Amino acid sequence: MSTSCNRFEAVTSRRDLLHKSASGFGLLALQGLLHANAVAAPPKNINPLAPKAPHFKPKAKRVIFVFMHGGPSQVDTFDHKPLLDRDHGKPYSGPRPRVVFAQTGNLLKSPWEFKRYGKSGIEVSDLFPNVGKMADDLCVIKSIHGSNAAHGGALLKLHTGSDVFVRPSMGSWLTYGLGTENQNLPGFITICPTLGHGGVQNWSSAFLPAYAQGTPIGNASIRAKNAKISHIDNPELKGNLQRMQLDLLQGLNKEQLAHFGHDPDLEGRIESFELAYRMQTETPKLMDISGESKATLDMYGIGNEPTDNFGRQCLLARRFCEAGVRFVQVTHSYKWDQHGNLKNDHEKNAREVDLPIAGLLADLKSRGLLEDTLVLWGGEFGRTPTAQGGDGRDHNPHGYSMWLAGGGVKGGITYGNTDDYGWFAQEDKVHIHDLHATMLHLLGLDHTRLVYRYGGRDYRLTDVHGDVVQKIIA
Amino acid sequence: MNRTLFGILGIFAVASTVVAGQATPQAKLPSAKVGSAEEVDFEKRIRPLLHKHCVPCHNATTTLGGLRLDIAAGAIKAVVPGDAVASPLVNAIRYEGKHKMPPSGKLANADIATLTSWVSSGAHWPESLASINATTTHWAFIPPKRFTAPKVAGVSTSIDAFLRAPVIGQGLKPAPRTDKRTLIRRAYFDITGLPPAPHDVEAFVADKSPDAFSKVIDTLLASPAFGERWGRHWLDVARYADSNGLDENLAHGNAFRYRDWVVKAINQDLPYDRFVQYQVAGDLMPAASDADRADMLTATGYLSLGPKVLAEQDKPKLVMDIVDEQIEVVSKSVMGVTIACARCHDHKFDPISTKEYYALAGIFKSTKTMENLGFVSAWNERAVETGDAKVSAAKYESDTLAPLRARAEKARAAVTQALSASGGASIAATSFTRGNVAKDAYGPGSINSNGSPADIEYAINVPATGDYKFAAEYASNENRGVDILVNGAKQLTDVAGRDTGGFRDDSKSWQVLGTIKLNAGANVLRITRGGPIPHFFRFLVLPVGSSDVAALQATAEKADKDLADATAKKPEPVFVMAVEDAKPEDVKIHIRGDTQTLGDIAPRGFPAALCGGNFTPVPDPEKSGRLSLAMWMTKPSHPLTSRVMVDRVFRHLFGLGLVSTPDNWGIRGEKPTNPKLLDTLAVTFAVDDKWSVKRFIKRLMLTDTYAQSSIAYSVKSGAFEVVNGKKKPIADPMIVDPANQLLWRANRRRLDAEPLRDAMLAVSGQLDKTLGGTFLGTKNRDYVTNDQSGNGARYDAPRRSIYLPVIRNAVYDYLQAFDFGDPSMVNAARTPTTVAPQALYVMNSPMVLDFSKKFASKMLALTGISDVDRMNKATYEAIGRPQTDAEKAVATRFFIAYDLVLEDAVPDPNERRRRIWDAYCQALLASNSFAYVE
Repeated sequence: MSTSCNRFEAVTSRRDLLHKSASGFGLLALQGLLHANAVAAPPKNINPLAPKAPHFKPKAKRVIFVFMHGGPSQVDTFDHKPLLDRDHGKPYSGPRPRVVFAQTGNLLKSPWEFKRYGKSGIEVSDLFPNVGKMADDLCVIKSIHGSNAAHGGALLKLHTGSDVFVRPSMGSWLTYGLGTENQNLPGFITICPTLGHGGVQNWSSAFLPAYAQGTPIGNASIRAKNAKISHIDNPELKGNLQRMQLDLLQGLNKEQLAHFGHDPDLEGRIESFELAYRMQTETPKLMDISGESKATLDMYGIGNEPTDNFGRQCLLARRFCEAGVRFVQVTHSYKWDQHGNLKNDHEKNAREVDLPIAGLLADLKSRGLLEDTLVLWGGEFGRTPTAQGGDGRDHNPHGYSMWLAGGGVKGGITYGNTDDYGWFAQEDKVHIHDLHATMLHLLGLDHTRLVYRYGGRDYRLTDVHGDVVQKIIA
Repeated sequence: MNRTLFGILGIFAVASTVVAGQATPQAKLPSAKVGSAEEVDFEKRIRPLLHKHCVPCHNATTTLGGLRLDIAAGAIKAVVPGDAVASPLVNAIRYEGKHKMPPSGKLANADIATLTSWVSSGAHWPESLASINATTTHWAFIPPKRFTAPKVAGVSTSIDAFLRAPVIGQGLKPAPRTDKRTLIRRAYFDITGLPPAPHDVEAFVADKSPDAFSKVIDTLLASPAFGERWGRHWLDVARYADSNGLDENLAHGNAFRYRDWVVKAINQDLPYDRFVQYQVAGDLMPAASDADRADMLTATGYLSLGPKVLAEQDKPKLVMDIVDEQIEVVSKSVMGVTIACARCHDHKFDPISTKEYYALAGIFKSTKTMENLGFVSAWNERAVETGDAKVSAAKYESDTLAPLRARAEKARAAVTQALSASGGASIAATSFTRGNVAKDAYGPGSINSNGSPADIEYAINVPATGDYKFAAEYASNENRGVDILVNGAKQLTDVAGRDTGGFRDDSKSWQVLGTIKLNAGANVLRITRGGPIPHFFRFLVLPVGSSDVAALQATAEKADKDLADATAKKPEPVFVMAVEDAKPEDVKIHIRGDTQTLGDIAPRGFPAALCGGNFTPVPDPEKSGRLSLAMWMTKPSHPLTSRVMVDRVFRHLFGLGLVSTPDNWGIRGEKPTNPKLLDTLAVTFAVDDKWSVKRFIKRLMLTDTYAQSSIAYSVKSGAFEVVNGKKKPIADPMIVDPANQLLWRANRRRLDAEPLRDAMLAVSGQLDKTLGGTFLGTKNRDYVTNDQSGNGARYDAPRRSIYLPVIRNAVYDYLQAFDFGDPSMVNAARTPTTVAPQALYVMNSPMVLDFSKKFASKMLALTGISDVDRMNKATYEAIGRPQTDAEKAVATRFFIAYDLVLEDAVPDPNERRRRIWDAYCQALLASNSFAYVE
């Protein structure tokens, strides 16, 4: 090859080519139509959503993120603090963060009892009796910490790794890094996501190519049973008629292609309409849960209140995972923000999600999916051990609990600790960046090598931070 | 040149390792190369430890023990690379030697081990490019100069000579001139973002004069649609949006005035240097008229439009985050480089030091961007008034408002007097004795609880025990009913729950909440809610039955209302998002970007690397330096500004830039494909064309290269042509340059989101060509909900897409699907993607279905022609050329088959015909011929 050729390669990166089409080329179908002179060999495997090899052997293939928007209290769920019970009502004399969201008063003990569950004896409060029964599958990290004490910043930090800049969501990074396993579906789906506190930014691909963006199904203000992907069906043209119209369109497109000759862009767009047509058929089938057994529906609490809505989200998550979607998020939107009314509202929230989450874990397990599906549970921050008003807690990003299950993490363990009252992470601290690094690691990706060049810099989900929490990996 | 630079550094690093091993006074730490494992490790683990535990006492200003641990040259005194035992630093942190460091307590064992292993493995310290004079080595930091065009036969312009030389050099034959129909469609979309109507195309085809194309270009550049298309290009790099985004998504109710100014300025062909100067420092420049002043203030909205973490409670951090965003937008959108990296550390890839970053930061810190730093902080706005408005406002004030105001004050005074006589009281909401609420955030005298449960107490003194009416003046945009307790007993439940239409003082209204019992003397009135409260302004307690007070109160309220109504009708000064100068100050270096760890003062000025190698301080430190910055960036000799802009214009017209990394012109960016052309164009634009974008666009469009055909062709091996009697081989472009980097043909380009939608509007006969305005639908500074269905934004107006609201975090789904880009970031070039959701949008969205029907109705309304002619005409409308025979055959088959299938379901033939046409027109709008420009 001549030097001049090398020069061209330098300016036409493979990535640029990859950007251009997420739908592959209908080359076989079109071969007969190509201009006789257009002979350049087509680049192979150009579809960016095709499954890509990870950096090393993964333990998990996909992720379900069960997001509790608002900030569930760690000391009322998974982080039992006996000293908080003892010193209830007394002033708190320990260190407080420099920046707080609101002022809080004396220590407030948890209104709920904690019980030990399973062989592991992990302590779970009475808010989550059903999840408790799955304790031996959980890896509870009690020492998660972030930095932002406001919802918007904390959501962005959790979803994108940055609360200051616009960065791709973790689901986008995974889709960018690994592609997806079902070419008729998006790689990253978020079911009933919240539209506040960063909104779309929490599932956007930012500077990553558009194919990596999350596809929302409904949003938090829509009941799960009515949620669907935008523009997934034509209100007027049904079945055969739309196919005929599509054939007309493709007929016109092929005439144009015949005139201009082989062009990956034109062919990519032709194929994108076929993919869209297949998605249109595939997605509603996946969203239709009428074929699920009564026993399965019961596991998720579908058909009963108050679990029906979140149960449907969890069941859809399982169905999408089963169908090959890489990252699925379900959101219990903005309910966990109990500055007041902690006792009633945390209780109410937990009732809506406890059974569905336990059902999801059990269902995944019985189908053999749990071993390579990483389930991640948590909120954007925890809450203060001190009281706001008489029956509330303020935001606390400095030490709180999240749990993981399946996907190559050790079950039945807890990791890390907060201080005696549960305010600051203290032992084996796990920053959000560390959590991201660990998640990528479980999916077979080295977080320092999963990079994207933008504005002259290689960007990562973990910025310049992040350590894989090796001790929780099975 | 940068490759060579790294090469030299590499050698240097090896050599210095040897020297350092001897630990002589001149020794240096071995450097960790950019991007190396050592560098990554240092930045990730070592530097943070040093900065946290050592640097506070060992830095440039506090140099205890004569030791600095913030720079390699200092650390060498305490470190023997490769020999931990011999390193004083290691001994000190192990608490083994004379010095035990840090004195506050021994480090964690893991940290000691980390630092020790760093020393043992060689103590690599990342090289700082800031110390290297790249000014003389990096091409983009050297001012551009003019080159003589190579000699190329048969080209119309010198630009073609620059472009054709490498094409011919590779043995390629450039593609022939395209046909006129293709050319005019290309020109229309490039200049105006709209398609030509069939009669425009035919007129051009019929015009055989040599300057036919030149005339078309002039007409298009003179049409207002030009500013709408090219204004949008600028808005992409100006990260324009109609809402703040991030955590507190407040409406930028006045941002559209900035957008409209951009469109106007581009249509007026405001020279690009002035265009930039106005945006960076228009408020500081002399204005010829009130109207100019208004424009120049409006332009500074550019600095203020960025996303801000408004509820960030660490306010010093918020301020520096805003400054950082401003540095980012200015450096990227005008100069094409990223400087913001240097906020935390010397820029690793470009020679910009942290000190130089803070030298720029000082300029923006000396600029007022925020009106206040309250719980939810507010950006600055300024009133712009033109002559007529000023006069009428003054007259209205004196003739109408002043008398009404006097009447209202008198009436209120009468109420207060009567109240005290009758035993009632009027209480300002802000006069609470205890409470967890903020004051004045939603208008003077307001209280609010920042989303938290509220608990507020007031002391109320009344002369007599008895029943009192309790009234409140408040503003709320939802039901936030509160409980009222008097002296510990709940007396009213869930009151003041009215939605008054907004949260600010302009929506406040009075409501009688109920009757309460008060004791003679002092009473404690408590207001509680387990969540945020309505924004109260005043309360009133009134003895039940004191009708005279009630009547007076009614009079006062009437007077207040009249005043409010008249005030609402006042000729409003127009407000724009704008900055102004604040107290000029230099800022200290924020070590690792931390507002709590400050280093040396960084006097304001411009980076050495972009100033020919010498840091250039601002000339007048008594001012912010913003005007100097604007003038410095727009000097014709500035190495980046003209180059970056000509590359952008080139990219928009040729579908390919001269530099393939338009967002990075620094050392890590790609070199230009045609450096002499780039430099010559930069000088041509800044000097010959005097920064006139219109002149420059026309210059590029009149080249042969612009008018080439887009058809890719291939050449059989062994092909040749005979030139001057000699055989000359012709190379195959599909092998030599399949990606068309050399522009041997025109690039096929997919329409951006806006021209795609605008073309559908135009073709379907609906486009409303009105300029400017807003469809945001949310009051300035109110929350836009993040839901497309829920917020007030309207996307259904048949107006050009540039006028549709851009809501951060909830960008219109159409724009989002078609690669609009994130409006929080500088988008130097959009990346066109082809994904299935776009196809779904075209197939199924109500928007496209509606356009298709309107297009079909327009075609069906034509009378006296056959359906065959109609198909041809529809094709011409949609894609600017007649239908081909093959297309006619495909379409005819569809018409027949579709009609047959529809027959049972739709017996009415007229209805059936309409449906067929709907479907056909949609297919035309969905076709590749429509979506691409050849």
